[in-house]
Amino acid sequence: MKRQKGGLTISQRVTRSTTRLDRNSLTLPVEVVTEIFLRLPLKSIATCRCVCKLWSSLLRSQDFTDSFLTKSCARPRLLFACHDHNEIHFLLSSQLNHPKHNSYVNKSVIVTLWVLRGAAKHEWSKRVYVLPPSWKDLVTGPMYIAGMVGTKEIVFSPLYQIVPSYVIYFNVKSKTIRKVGIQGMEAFQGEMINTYLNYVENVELL
Amino acid sequence: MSESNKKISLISSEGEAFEVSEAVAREFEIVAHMLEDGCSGSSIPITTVDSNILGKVIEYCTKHVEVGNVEGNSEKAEKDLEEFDKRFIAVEMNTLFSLILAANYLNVKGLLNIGCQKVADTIKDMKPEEVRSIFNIENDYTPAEEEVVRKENEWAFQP
Repeated sequence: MKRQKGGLTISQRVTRSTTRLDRNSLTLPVEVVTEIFLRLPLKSIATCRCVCKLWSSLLRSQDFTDSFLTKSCARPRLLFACHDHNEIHFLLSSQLNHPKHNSYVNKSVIVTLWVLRGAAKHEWSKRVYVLPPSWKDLVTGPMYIAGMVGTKEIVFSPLYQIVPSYVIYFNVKSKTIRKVGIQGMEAFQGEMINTYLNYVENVELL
Repeated sequence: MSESNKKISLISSEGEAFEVSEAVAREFEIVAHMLEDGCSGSSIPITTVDSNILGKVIEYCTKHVEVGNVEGNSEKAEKDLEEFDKRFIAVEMNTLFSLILAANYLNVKGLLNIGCQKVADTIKDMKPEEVRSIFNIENDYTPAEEEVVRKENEWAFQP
């Protein structure tokens, strides 16, 4: 990583008198600023490119792009596509990768999965999962399977956007379900919605 | 007596001494390295950090050492620590930057991490001019250049 010291210097000693209300009197070294960048969403990275020339070049460097992708892969997101007349709005939300278990099992909704064993031989195996009774209280309309997170969590998404928005994680091992609310999609009430799992942000695509 | 009962004095930039246990001092990786390198002195000068900030960093490390020592670390203890971190880092920007600079210099990874995360959360939805003011950065784009770079990243400015 390039260490461009020029624009960013450390003024170490802090005295109270230099503290002003909105302008900070301290400057952080490049490696720390980079650590902060790595914790930002892609949209904020775009904003930060407009701050100054040094930041713009830092945020376009291959080193940064690689580090950001590594971090981003470690925290995959849920991507929602909301259809609103002729436009599609994309919204990102954090994805639970290790939901905690609660709940119980009883007979209720059944999900049957057909898993393709060997593509060449067209061998399918059948898996039946019984969803806990609390499912009925949690869902509000038609649902579809958005996919799987990790090795044991099936994610269900509503077919149409309703307020409050949510997705449901079903843990196939512990047979428990968990409803997770999503904020910020209120504007798309009643619209069709597609949910994509494991979305990863990439600076290269900015 | 075990070594963890040994006391070490950390001296701030103003010359004020803070007496801490060796376990707490070792949370400063820079100090841990000095001790491993055979530095046997019982007082260590931290010349770039003032008393106010050094006191806060020690408070952070003490809390984390205490919780780390509890047998069979429960979920509750973890939650308490999270709450502590949240309260600890809820300070005004200048103090936050001072804490980050100190954590970076002293190599206190946990504190550096929550500090950077706090700044990221703060600037996430800000405009470039607000970010400049937080980071004390002068705008070095000419108006024409700025228009180009803003145009390129236009989507980020939409609500």
